[in-house]
This record gives sequence, C-alpha cells and structure tokens, in this order.
Amino acid sequence: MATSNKLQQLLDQKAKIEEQLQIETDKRFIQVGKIARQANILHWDNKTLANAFKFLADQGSEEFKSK
Amino acid sequence: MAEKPTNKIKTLKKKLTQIDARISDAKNLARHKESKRKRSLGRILIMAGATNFYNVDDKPFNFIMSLGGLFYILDFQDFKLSVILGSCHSVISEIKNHQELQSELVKKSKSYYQDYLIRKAVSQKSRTNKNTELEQPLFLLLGVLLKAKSLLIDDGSIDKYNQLGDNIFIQHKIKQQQKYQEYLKQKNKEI
Repeated sequence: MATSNKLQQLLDQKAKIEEQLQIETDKRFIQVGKIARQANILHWDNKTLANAFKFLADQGSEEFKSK
Repeated sequence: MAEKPTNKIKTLKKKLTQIDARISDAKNLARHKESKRKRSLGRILIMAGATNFYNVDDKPFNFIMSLGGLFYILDFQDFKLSVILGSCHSVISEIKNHQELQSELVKKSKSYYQDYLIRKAVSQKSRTNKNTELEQPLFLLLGVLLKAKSLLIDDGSIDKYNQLGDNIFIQHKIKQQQKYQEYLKQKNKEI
C-alpha cells in the first residue's frame, strides 16, 4: 500500500513539473516569436524558417564543439 | 534576479528525467512486492487444500504465483493471510466431496470471470489482453475464493477464520519440523 502511495505521489509530482515545463516552454515560444518579429522574418514561409533554424542549430553545435 | 526561461526549462527537464527514474524504481518495487504477495497467496491456497482438486506437482515453480493471481481477480488479496487460509480451508472442506457444489462454484466463477474480463477490457480501453484464458481446473479454485470472500464479507466472523487459519499454520509448522527431523535422521544414518 505504501509503495503505491509513493508511486502516486511521484506521478503527481511529475504532472506538476510537466505543467510548469509547459508554461515555461510557452513563455519561451513567445520570446522566440518576438525575436523573429524584430529580425523581420515573420513573413518567411515555414520551410525557409525551418531551414534557417536548422542551419543556425548546426553552426551553433559546431561552435560549441570547437570551444 | 529571476531565472532565465531557458535555464528554467533546462532545470525542469532535468527534474523530469530524475522523477522518471524514481517512478521506474517505485514501479519495480511495487511489482516485486506484488510478486511476493502472489507467491504467499498461492502457498496459502495450497495449504488450504487446493491440491484436492488440482495437481500442482507437475507445474513449474512459478506457477504458484498464478494461483496467487486468482486473488487479484477477486480483489481478495489484502486480507490477513491467516483469515484467507481459514476461510479457504473451510470452503474446501465443505465442497471436497460434493460434486454438485463444485459444479455450482465452477459455474459461478466462469460467469464472474467473464464479467471481470469485460470490466478489465473497458478499464484498459483498446489495450489487448495477451493471456485471458484460465485453465479449466482453476475455475474451481476461483469459485472457492469467491465463496471464501463472500463468507468473510457476509458472515462477518473474521475472528473465527483468523483462529482457524492460525491453527492450520501451527499444524503446518509442526509437520515441517517433523519432516526436517526425519530428514536429519536419514542423513545421519547415511553418514
């Protein structure tokens, strides 16, 4: 019985953290959106945006590796 | 200064990984406890006289857990072991030599098991059950448990069955000690 209570507690904790994570991720999406607006790239189509982000992500990881 | 959202996300993801590991540990522990409980319940059923209806000698060692699993079908697993032993023993003694009572119990348990499968399928939604079939002789034992549970709930005389179970435990212990003494004697003779 005690084990199942503990498991339930952990599952509740996990649900709370997931909720917090969702809130923080949403905040981050808004920030990224604002940066995209400032950079005047909001009118780009999704495919171009995805390519640009991929290029930046690859470059970022290369720089990270070289450091 | 408030934590940056990027850092917060990293921290939360880390926490999530940690909590997942703890959940996995807790699940393993619960599974281990359940297996232990099933084994004890299986032994109790054998001690109560299940071997009158079902030969378990030719079954694999872990089969005893399947017998314990029958208690979980009825949600009958949380009673004290001596109470379970007492009630099962009195049901088995009652039906041991009565074919009619046995057929009646098999009929009841089959119907209960069908309902149980439906309930389980509904609660698990689309998840399919790999092993839903019970071996025929197990239906009689399931019937025994059904009757034993109803004895405890309807009769309300838990103390009576507790006492009976304790006595059987004591008798069993004495028998085990005698067996051990005989084994020691045999061993000494051989030396």
